[in-house]
Amino acid sequence: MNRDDLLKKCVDRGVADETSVGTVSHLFYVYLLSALQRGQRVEMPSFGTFGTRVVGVKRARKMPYFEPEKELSDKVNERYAELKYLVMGKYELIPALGEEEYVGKEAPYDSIIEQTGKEILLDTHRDVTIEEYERSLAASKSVTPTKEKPLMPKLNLKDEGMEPETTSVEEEKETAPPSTLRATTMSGGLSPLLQVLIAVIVLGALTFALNNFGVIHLWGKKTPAVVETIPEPEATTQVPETPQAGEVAPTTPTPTPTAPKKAERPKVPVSSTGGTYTVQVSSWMTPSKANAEVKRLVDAGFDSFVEDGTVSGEKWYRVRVGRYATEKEAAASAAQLQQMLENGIWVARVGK
Amino acid sequence: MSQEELINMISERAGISKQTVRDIIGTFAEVWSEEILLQGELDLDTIGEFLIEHRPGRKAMNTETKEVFLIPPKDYLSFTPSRELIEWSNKPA
Repeated sequence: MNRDDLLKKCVDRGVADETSVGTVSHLFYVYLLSALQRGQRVEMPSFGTFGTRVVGVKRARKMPYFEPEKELSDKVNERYAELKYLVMGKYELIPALGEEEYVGKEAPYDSIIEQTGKEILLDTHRDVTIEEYERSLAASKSVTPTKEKPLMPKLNLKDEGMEPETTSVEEEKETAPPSTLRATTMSGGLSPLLQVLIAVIVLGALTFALNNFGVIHLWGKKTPAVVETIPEPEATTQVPETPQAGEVAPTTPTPTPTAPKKAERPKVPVSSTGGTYTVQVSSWMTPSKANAEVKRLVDAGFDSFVEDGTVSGEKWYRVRVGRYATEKEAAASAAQLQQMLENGIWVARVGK
Repeated sequence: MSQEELINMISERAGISKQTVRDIIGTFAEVWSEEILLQGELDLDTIGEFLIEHRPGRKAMNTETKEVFLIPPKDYLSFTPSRELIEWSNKPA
């Protein structure tokens, strides 16, 4: 309805002349705008109230609204005025079932049918039938227990990696876990890797203890397997200390564990009278090590001495045993020494 | 702004008696109401659009008492303000 239609209807009702109605209509519109601009309300009798309310997230925007009078609202809703809220029924707990069940009236569809003029209006209650509602409720109830059941397999914190994937409780019952899983779960819930690690640690500790107490010998200083006497050398002119027969020698690792007994030990033909040839036992870059080796050999009864030599500009200290006139004697002695010392030894000339 | 204030302002400004202004504004409301009730809608160019809308009945349940209600249908009057009215409302006073 535009302004002209409104003016015409008002003039037809004989309220006032067209000029007055036009002026009042214009001023009404102007004052309505200014009032809304100031945030005021404008009341119209038997029609409604115009006003503004703040809207928006930032609450910085005004939106005009219209609130109809109760008289107008009642007229608008006249055809449904007598309809009241209908209590159809109630869900009550039935102890025998242990569940809630709907107890109430059937759907009162007939009361919803309205008649306006020649038309019979059927409201949208038909779309929401009680049967459909009950069906949906039953469906939701049937779904609800399945929700309570654990759809995902229960978390097995003891052995998560070996837990078979199951989708329901029945499948979980049917498919028993493998025997290995049973064994692992029964043994304190330790993972196999952890068990192997603990076993290794225990074994290592046991080995260390046995080695420390001397039950087994895997590392550390070797204890002499055989206490042997030092053989009496044939010519001991250069040997500083000549042990007596039957005297207990200090711990000498030089003899092999399978060293012969006192009587069976082969005597090394050591000639200390002088000769061109000698047997080289070892060679060291430091004199202290060479002297220690010589002392060990001398303690064992060998005619040992140190000779230094230069090889490729480096000085080496050679540990040598005996002096032999011929190379053959030296070689024979070297063979015997090799058996006794188990070292890389060779025949060399003295002074070279 | 109440009805009497509006009538006084229009009367002073237009030089028309208050009773005439009251009658004219009352006629406006009467014409608009009749138009709304008969046509179901009223489109005022400068103010906005009034429309009777239908809210269908529906079923609801009180979760505390577990009573099932049938909420009856209802017709209500909606108002959509015009662009000009919105702009004027948001202009600084």
